[in-house]
Amino acid sequence: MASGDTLCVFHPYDMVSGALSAGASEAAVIVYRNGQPVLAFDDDLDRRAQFSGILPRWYAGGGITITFWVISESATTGNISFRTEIERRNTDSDSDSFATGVDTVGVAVSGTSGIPVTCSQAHTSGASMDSLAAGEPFRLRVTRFPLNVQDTLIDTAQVLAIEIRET
Amino acid sequence: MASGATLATFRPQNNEPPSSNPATLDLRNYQVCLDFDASTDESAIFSGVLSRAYDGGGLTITCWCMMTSATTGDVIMQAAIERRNTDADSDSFSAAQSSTATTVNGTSGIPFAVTIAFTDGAQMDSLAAGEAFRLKINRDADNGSDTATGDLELIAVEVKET
Repeated sequence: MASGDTLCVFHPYDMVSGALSAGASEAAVIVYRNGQPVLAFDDDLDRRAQFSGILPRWYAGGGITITFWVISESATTGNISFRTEIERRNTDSDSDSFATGVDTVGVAVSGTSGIPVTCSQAHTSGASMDSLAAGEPFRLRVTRFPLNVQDTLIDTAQVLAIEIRET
Repeated sequence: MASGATLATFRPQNNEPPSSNPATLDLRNYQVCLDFDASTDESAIFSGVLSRAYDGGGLTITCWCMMTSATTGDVIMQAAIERRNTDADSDSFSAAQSSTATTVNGTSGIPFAVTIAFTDGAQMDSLAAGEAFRLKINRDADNGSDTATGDLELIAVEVKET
């Protein structure tokens, strides 16, 4: 496979239960929007969600791009940003060992609150992906930091889906 | 696709527990895992559809495991496949295939891989590309060669073309 090919897709129900890690963040929560499950990241606290998976063997080493499909709860202006971190699961599971996170560039929400927009961030192959290789298990940690300068959305951000593709 | 291609992956949350001796969900450092007992054979069942990319070369199941506390010894995992073209009111898994005795990691929380191979055909219950299936994973805990003490914790399963 090649650049642009989908590697993994995560839905709100794929969020690992008890997604808190030691330290700062509260967990994102599943809410329903018109009967559709979404992950809600409000603007009052740093909110976090974690996902686990296996990087498919067709990953060709070109780095990954993580894309969020996001709607705002009600706002029609403002920019949303997320931090993404990758942990290659080849170290002691009793301690987190995520690679340094990468923040998405702020993306303006739709002028209609329920219409999704996408925001993406690339992790280059190597250290930015914690040196994760094809066929290996990993964790993806997603955090919204409402005080991040890229994040100007004064509202809850609701994530419909997350895609990981080869850059 | 070809040999080595990932066809399906399963996480602990995907488990559809059997009625007897199920592996149990647990959290380790807030990471979901499935615990398999050290003395009684316990199992987990996952359902899926075999990717149409499957090319007939057989399957290799990779179980990513860690141990609750053991840092020495071996474990044996088994897997069985059920092609879902029979009466769902009765299980019809093919005969289980076993891994070799696999040595656990010297640090209990570091995952290690245990692999189980299936040849195409009867071993896979004649499952074909695009068909629905169930995969049953169990620890062969009462096998004399499964010597690691304490629970085994399953964190992920990969199905790939051999």
